[in-house]
Amino acid sequence: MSGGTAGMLEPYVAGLREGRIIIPRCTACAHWDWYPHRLCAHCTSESRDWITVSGLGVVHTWTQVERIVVPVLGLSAPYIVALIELADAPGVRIPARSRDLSRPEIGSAVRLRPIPTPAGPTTEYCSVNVDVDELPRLP
Amino acid sequence: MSERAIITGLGQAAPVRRSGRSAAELAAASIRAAIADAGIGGAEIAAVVTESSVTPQLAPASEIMTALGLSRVHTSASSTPTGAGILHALGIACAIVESGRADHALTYFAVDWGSRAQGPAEYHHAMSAKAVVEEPAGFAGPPLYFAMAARRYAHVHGLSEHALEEMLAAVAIGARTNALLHPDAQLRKPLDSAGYLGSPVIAAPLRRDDCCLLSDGAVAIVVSRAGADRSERDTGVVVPGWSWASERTDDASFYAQSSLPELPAATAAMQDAISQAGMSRADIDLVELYDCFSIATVLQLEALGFAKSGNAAEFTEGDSLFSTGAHPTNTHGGLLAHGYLLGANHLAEAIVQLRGEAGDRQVPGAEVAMIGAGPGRQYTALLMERVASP
Repeated sequence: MSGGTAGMLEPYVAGLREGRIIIPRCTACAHWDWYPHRLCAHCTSESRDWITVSGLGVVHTWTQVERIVVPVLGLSAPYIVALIELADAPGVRIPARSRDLSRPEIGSAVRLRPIPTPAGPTTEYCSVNVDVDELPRLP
Repeated sequence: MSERAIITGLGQAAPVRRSGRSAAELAAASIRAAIADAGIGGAEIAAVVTESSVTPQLAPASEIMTALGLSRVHTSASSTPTGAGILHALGIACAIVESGRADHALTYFAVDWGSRAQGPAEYHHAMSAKAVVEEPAGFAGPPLYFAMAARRYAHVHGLSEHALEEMLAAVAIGARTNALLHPDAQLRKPLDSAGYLGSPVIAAPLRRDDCCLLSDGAVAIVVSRAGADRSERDTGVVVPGWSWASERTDDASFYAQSSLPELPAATAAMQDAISQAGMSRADIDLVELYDCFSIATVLQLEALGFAKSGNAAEFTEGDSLFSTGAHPTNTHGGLLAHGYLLGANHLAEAIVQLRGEAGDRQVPGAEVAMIGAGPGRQYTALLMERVASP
């Protein structure tokens, strides 16, 4: 594997520690380059801005884990994890923990919240009572 | 066009959970067998082509060439990572022979992930987006990636939970039933619907029986210029078309950001391979697909154009995928039941089938096989055809 993200995700993780979700957007072409590439996957520019997003998004898909395959510090089965597509950054998906074992609905609106865990900073989602089409979005 | 290279040599170290041997030893055993099958000596191998991520660590070509006395190799190449790379390497070996550079070229793959079960997890953990972003969220390990793909598939195509379960069961049962007819398959316990439903859930909707095995094993293949073929067979096997296609394959572009359930690279590679061969899908008698999980077979059957989009449930129904069925698929049992040799075993099975040497699981009149691997961001589609030897 080449062209990896090693070292490039530090701003994202630092943002989570400060309670913010920040995502890289190409300075040249405004493409949300996630996960970040050294060269923008759309226009090859190397310059990017880290933009704070609202955390609002839509459930893309999910699974309920019944047996741990790869141990994650402090996490035990069963648990639900979902991929959330950000309202502010179309196409960008963030993996997020569920707070409980209620089944999420694909296509429904949720809010992501940064959380500290023994495995490192990550996000959890909770449902919000908003129509997906009504989600506020960055201009 | 130049004359097609002939697949003259096949050697296998059958998949087992724990072989007690290193991947390099398994590679060496399979290569010796392949060279003997081709009827040549090691010093006649002029080119070696290998997969690019697992092989350099477990059985590097430089070490293998020295150990086996492949003293006259003048061309060496490596392809791309993992399953797609294994098929890709065979394609390149054929191209080297067809270019006239070499009379005989070798490709091989060996793995020890049966003995070293953390192999796949280590492979994925080495990608920083997974270690830094995905794993802390609990999105950790390949079964989760494909469980999420299965859920997304069911959502996009409007499958009920029950219909999804039945479709996955048909794929798992098909692979297992085919494996029962393979003397060297790793998993030889019959599987029916009740057995499938009794299999523990790993990451819903995937059960243990939806997940591939872990294996030690190896496959080696020799391809030869038609005029240099000394294998003395009545029929030969050639590769009339193959292609590799890729979206970005770096670690920044893995499953979380993929367009699942679509596999654009698989669709592109298949179109290209088919058109090179001047064939249509109706010419294909059997397919061997990288079934790391049952849902991966489903996604590929649709992306490759065998089943219509959203129609895999009907396509895979009943005994359809059995070696005796309407759409023989993974006739050796695939990664689910034959062994997890990352698709190298799929190449071996296609060769055996086209040689007409598959015994109880022989697909009658098999003339054309399609082999596909890498159901993520990169994909290789490869066609094999049985031809009369010159």
